[in-house]
Amino acid sequence: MNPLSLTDAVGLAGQAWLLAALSSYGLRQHSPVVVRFGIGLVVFLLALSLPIAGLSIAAWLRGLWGDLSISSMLVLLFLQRQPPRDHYQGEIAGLTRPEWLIGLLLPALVLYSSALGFVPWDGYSLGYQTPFAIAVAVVALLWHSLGYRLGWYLVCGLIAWQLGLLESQNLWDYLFDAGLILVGAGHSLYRWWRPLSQRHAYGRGWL
Amino acid sequence: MFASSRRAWRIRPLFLLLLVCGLAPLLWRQETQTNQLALPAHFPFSPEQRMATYRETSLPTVSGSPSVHAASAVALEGGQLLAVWFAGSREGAADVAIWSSRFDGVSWSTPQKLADRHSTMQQTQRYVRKVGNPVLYSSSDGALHLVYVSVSVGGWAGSALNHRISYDQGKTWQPAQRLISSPFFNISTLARAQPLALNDGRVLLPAYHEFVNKYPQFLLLDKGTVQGSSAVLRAVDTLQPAPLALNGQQAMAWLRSSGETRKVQFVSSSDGGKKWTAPQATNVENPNAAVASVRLDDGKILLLANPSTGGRYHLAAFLSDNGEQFEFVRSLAGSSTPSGDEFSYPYLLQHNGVIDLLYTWQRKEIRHVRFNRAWLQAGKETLP
Repeated sequence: MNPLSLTDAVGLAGQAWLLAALSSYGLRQHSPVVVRFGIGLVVFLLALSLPIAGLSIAAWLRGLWGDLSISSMLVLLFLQRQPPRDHYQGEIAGLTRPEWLIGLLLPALVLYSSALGFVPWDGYSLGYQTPFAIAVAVVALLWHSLGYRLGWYLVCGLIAWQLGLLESQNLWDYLFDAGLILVGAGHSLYRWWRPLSQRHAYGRGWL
Repeated sequence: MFASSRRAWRIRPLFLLLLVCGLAPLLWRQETQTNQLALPAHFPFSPEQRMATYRETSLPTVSGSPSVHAASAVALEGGQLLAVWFAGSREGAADVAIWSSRFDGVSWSTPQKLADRHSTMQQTQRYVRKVGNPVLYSSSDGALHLVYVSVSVGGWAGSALNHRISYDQGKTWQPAQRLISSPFFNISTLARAQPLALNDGRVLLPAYHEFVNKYPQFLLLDKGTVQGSSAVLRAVDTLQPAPLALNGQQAMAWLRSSGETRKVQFVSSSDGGKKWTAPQATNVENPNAAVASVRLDDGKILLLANPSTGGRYHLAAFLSDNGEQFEFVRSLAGSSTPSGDEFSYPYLLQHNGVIDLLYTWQRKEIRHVRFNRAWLQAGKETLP
C-alpha cells in the first residue's frame, strides 16, 4: 500500500469533514452540542476508515466532486457553530450574504464561464501567478478591514496555497470550489424567491 | 450595504500576521517570464538514409482485450521504443487498462499492464470509473512520464488527467498522481499528443477540454504538477493539438476539427506556447479524427491525418513548408475509397534518422511503421 501524501490526507479529510458537518448540522435542533460533536466525530472516522469495495467513503466522494477548497472547509467549520435556533432561519453559514455574492459568486461565474469556453479569456491561468496572489491579499485585507469574515477565508486560502495543502497549484482552487459556489448560488436564489416577509433576516451579521 | 457600527475600519494583528505569512514566500518565488522551447535532436542525413526504409509490424495483443486504441510512444536509450495504449472489451469499459510494450529494434515485448481503474483508484485515493488515452514522454533529466485519462462520472467529457513517473526507463513506475487542471470539478481535461519540451526541464502538454465546449489548451507540467496553463479559447470545436517547436519561441500545432469546418486546423505561438493564434483551416480534410506531426531534418513538416470528411478509413502522410498548405505524399493505411475501416490516432516519433509511426488498426491492433525520409520521397501517389 502506498503511503498517503499530505495532499491526499487533506483531500480525504475534507470529504470526511463534509459528511461529519452535515450530519451534525442535521441534528442541531434536537441534540446538545456534545452529542452533535460526538456523532460528527464518529461520522468523520467512519468516512475515512470504512472501506466500500476497497475504497473509503471519503475517497468515493472525492472521485465524484474533487477536493474541497479551504473556504468550503471553513464554511463547514462555521456551520458547526451555527446555533440550533438562530433567528437567521434558512441561512446556511452566511452563504447568501452580500460579501459572498460579491466576493466569491461573481468571480466564480466569470471563472467558470471562461473555463467552460464561453468567453475567450483564460481566467484560471491567473491562479498560478504571483500578481494574482498579491491582488487576493489586498482584497482579503479590504474585506477584513470592513469587518467581513470573507477576509479570513481568503487569507487562509492564500496560506494553504503557499503550503501546498491541496493537489492543485492554482490559487483559485483554494479560494472556492464548484460545489460551494453551486450551494451558495442555489441557496441565494431560493432566498430571493421566498416571500419578502420571510426574508427579514437577510443581510444581518453573525460574525 | 456594508454600513454598520461594528464594521468600522479595523485590522486585527493576527490577520495582518497571517497575511504577511501568506505573502512572504512570494518574495522567494521564482517565476519564469518566458518559455524557451527545446528543439528535438538533429540527425544529419547519413548515406544509409538514402535508401528507402519501410517496415510494418503489429504490437502484441492482450488476451481478453479485443479493443485497442490511442497508442503513444517514447524513444529510449539504445534506440529502443516504449509504447503505451489502452485495451479492453470496448472503449470506455470498466476493464480497459493502459498497457505497455518495449521494442528492441527487432520485436515488441509481451505487454505489461501499467494502470487500470483499480490501481488508479488506490493510488489517487478517489473513485475512478474508467481509464483512457495515455501519453508517454521523457523529460530532460531522463525520467519517463505517463499521463493518462480517467473518468469518475459521465463520459469522456468528465475526464481528468493522472501522472506517473519512472526513473529507470520504464521498468518501475511511481504511483499515479491526479493533475488538477480545471476549476470546475476538475473535469474535462484530456490529452493525446506528445508535449513540447522546455529548456528548463518542464513541458507544455497539449490537452483539450470537452465539457460544454471543445477547445485546446496547453498545461505547463513540472514533475507531475500543473504549474500553468494556456487555453486556446478562440479555437472552439477543435481538440487534440499536435504541436511542434520551430525554434526557442515559435511553435505550431495542428488540431482535430469537431465542428462544421471539416479541415485540420492550425494555430501558432511566438512566445514559447503561452499564447496561441486563432485557428486557421489547412487544406487537409478531417473527419473529427486525431492528427500527428513531426518536423523533419530538412525543416519540412510531416503531418499524418485521415484526409476525408466521412471516416477514418484512410491514413495518409502530408508534407508542408509553412504548416498551412500541405501536399499529399503517401498512403500509410487504407485507401481514399470510403469504407467502414478505421486506421486512426497516429503518433509520430523521429529519432536516429528514422520515423516511427504508431496507429490504431481497425481497433483490433496497434500497428508500428518504421520508415525514413527517403521512403516518403519515393512515393509518387496522388490523392483523388
